[in-house]
Amino acid sequence: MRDWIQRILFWFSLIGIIVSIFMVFFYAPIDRNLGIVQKIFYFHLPVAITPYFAFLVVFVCSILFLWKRERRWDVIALASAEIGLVIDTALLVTGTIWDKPTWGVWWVWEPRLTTSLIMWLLYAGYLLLRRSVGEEARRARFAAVYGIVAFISVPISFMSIRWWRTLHPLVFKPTGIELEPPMIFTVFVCLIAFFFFYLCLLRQRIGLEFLKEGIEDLKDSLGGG
Amino acid sequence: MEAKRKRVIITTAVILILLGYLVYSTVGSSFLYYRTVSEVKADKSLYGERVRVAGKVVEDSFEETGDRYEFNITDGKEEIKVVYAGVLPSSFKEDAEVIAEGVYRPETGIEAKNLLARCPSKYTSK
Repeated sequence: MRDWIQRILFWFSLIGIIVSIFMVFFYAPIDRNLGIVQKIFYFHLPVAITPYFAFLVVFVCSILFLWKRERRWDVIALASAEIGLVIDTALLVTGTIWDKPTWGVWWVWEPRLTTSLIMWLLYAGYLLLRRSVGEEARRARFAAVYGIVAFISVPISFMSIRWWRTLHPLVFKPTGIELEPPMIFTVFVCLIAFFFFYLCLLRQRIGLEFLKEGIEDLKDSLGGG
Repeated sequence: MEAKRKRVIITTAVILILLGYLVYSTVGSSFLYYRTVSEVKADKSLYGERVRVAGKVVEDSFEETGDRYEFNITDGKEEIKVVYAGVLPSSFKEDAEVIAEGVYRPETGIEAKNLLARCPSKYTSK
């Protein structure tokens, strides 16, 4: 880790996550209705917002790739999709863990949950597509088109609790945030910590992809093609 | 290489079919995930149909006979009786929001097959 930006991202996310855990358990008050289980919220919200952002990065980089045809945009899109999907998996897992004690079921086919699962499947499909196309230039082109189209699921998932009647609560209303100030502060710190964690992983993953490329180039030059 | 390609195509196909089914079932039913008590009472075409109704459990309406539970739910205007013979969600209590799913008949109320608790979308300390 000679790269100083990477080092800053690493320490920010590490310290941020440690501080978040302390705030969640020792600073934020216990919810009156749901009790201790409501603390999942402080993890559930960051792992919901971060994939939205990660998939927005995929979307923007896919457009940039088709426009500029520069390989780095394809690499960033790939990295962001992979990390976004992993964090999105954490979202679905924390969601079902929370559903059971509050709603009484592990899973319901209501709009928020259904649209979120569709989003997860679409980005799993994105990574599958990348594996199925062998030729590099074609793969990048296909992935970019797919990365743009699949993004439609993100605003739908985000807006689902605003457009339709759902079981899922809407905490951040246009009329105000339905949280007490210490809860807002805690979830805000959690969100920032998680965002740094995402950036740290993203940069690491991009670096890895270029290292891989460097090795391939070396192989080619040694083997003479 | 050929086998790998086949596997990828099959997996993609399975995902697409699953996705299509999900979209279909969502558009078909869940976009109106639940109805209010007043809506169900007002709409005669729903009588004898399977519905999902949200409402608050009316205070002092809860009765337990064996493993059958009876209570009323309200949207502030109308009330509907709910009969349920399953496991109550742990956050079930009087005055809490629930969603009852089952066949509605005006004489007997809702014979609920499923009962979900709706948590308030507001978190406050004790």
